[in-house]
Amino acid sequence: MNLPGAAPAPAGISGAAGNGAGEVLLEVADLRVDFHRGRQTVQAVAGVSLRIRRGETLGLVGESGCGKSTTGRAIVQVERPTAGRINFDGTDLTALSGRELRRARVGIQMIFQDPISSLNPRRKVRDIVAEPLDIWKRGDSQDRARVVATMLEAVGLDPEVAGDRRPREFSGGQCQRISIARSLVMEPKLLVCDEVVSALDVSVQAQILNLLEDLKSRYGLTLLFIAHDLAVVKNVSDRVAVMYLGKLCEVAPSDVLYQAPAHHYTTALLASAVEPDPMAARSSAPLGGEPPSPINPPSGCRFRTRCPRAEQRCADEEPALREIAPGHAVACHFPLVGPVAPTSGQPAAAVPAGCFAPRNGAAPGSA
Amino acid sequence: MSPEIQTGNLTFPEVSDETTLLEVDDLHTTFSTSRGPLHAVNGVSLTLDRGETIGIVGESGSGKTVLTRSIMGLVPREGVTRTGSVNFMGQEILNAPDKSLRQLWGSQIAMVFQDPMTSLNPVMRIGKQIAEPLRLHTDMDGKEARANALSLLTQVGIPSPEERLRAYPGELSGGMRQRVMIAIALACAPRLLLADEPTTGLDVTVQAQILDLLATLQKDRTMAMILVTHDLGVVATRTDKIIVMYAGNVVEQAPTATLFSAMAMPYTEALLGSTPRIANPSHTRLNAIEGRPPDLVNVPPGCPFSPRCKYAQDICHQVRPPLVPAAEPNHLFACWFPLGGRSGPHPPAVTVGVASERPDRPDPVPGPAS
Repeated sequence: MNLPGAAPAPAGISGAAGNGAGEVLLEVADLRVDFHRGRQTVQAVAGVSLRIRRGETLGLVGESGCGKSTTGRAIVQVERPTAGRINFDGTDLTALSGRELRRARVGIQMIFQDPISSLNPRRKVRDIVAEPLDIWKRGDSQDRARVVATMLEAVGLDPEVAGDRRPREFSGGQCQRISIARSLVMEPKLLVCDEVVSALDVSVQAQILNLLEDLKSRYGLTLLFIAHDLAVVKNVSDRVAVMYLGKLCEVAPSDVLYQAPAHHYTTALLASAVEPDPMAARSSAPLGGEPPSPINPPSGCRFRTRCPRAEQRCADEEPALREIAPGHAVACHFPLVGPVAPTSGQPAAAVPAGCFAPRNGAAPGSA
Repeated sequence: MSPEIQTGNLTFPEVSDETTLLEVDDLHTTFSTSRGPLHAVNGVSLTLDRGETIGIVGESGSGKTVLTRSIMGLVPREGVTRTGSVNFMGQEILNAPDKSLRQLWGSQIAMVFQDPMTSLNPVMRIGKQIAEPLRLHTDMDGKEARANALSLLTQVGIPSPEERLRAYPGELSGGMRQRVMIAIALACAPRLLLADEPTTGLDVTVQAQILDLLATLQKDRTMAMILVTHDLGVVATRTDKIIVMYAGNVVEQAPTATLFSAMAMPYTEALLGSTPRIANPSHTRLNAIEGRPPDLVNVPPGCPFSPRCKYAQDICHQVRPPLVPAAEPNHLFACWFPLGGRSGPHPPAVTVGVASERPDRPDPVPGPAS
């Protein structure tokens, strides 16, 4: 379904998935989410467009506060977007409300970071997992019991033993399995996973990551996998989107992104990551400082205040997400891979890095 | 004659030629619980030289945090038994009275905790919190301590430190708060820094900054460090040696390069196998270790890792393997069937009573199964 008036999504962000390019299941167009704090407005998500094809896993990485979780929550409509469209399986979720919205988003389920606090401590595991079925009055009680048992088994729990227990009797990893079972009973098409393994020990993390891969192929799921850990994201994703201060800076197939990153921020993130290998080049904190406040983001490119390559043009003109290779899009005037962005409007004089124009200064190129 | 620092009834030389700073011998820490004794640390020995960094890795519940707290003396006296020996600069500090330990904490041994939010006093300004140990342990007056706090904040890389001195912890980000924690820990120039998961919960970019900062400060001050983490990536490039703990026991110990190139203990291999790596292509299946670490009140007999170990044979479930030296120098492991085809310790000829209940037990063969 083509939305009338929808801004055409950049071609680069709908790259072919590794496992057969299916049709687009989720299309997010120019998503904006603002939060108001007193008189100030925080732009948590400032214009994000992305597409996820059926059967694909899209990873979304970035530092804390970059808006990756808000993006996930806005897709599920937990946070109503300020602007933009979310087209899921042919329906624009932002145009719906009330009962229609609830019905439309049954196909999207979300799993959260803290597995213990996302389960009701007073209910039995069996009832927790059955609750979506109860709410939607699916089947009779026998059918539901059967579905719950199948799901608990699918996530590696014994329904006979686990069903009558309460969440506190389980470890963090097992609670995350219960959350996954609960999210799957409605047979969702899209699973939004928000930092689902970051609170877990490395051994349990590996179990859950393997489980997600198994369930994905077994139930034909499509995943939006939000996490800050680059190695974890690479492990599960077909494509990876990197987010900084409310905007996407780079989208590429995961092996491409990690091998030949085009955005300076992606490079810095990768250089900061630690690998369990004493021979690996020791990172030397390539990024100083912390991201600027989203209340008052820098003009032009949002990363320019920490970018080693920043020029006057980066302050004047906001780089658009453009395709530099099939399936590889970057929002940078001077990417590490691919050509320099063609100038729109008059070319800005190159100045040494570090000399920035004041905010809202002469911006001949900004649209 | 070197001047000496008087700390209660413990005396530490200001300068010493000895290289060994800390020597822990057969340390046991046992908590008494309603279900019975819980052996959180079960016979750990280690030595640490001046300026050296040792990494302690293991899953949660492996006893790594209790170990560092036991070394420092930060465990409750009630309901906790500690035996063995902790020798810090020639002094036995395991059963030193609290009064002398208080002199030691901060000035000689300092600690950086995992959670910078709950470790800082939320209603005290940053500057005062950094100056506090200086006022306690040195004869600096308020003005000097304040000037020192400012210099410490600058050293840990906090921008506009003058303003930050007046800030409250809640006004700082997680990374900045951890820098403040480090500044407090370093205020009195301790000889030993215990860093318990100092970067867990921080972003990768901030993690790299904090680890670099610790390494630089450590080098400048010839400070020894014990770095506790569950992440093998954090210790791989930043430690001199590594101790792998499981269920309160040291299961492998080696110089860092040796551990990664010639690991002997299946648990170490399993930990590494379950860590996702950027160097691997996406969708690489992880070698997850099934199950969970044992309940420390009811640790199974034999090797504590045997219920989850893919190489385990009968003897592993019956007799606990001793920590024995490998061929490489300073490399110890506790496994009957170590990796890489090396020979393990000689299993006892007569095994304990359980053996008779298992008549089908095959003779243990050296080297990993299959």
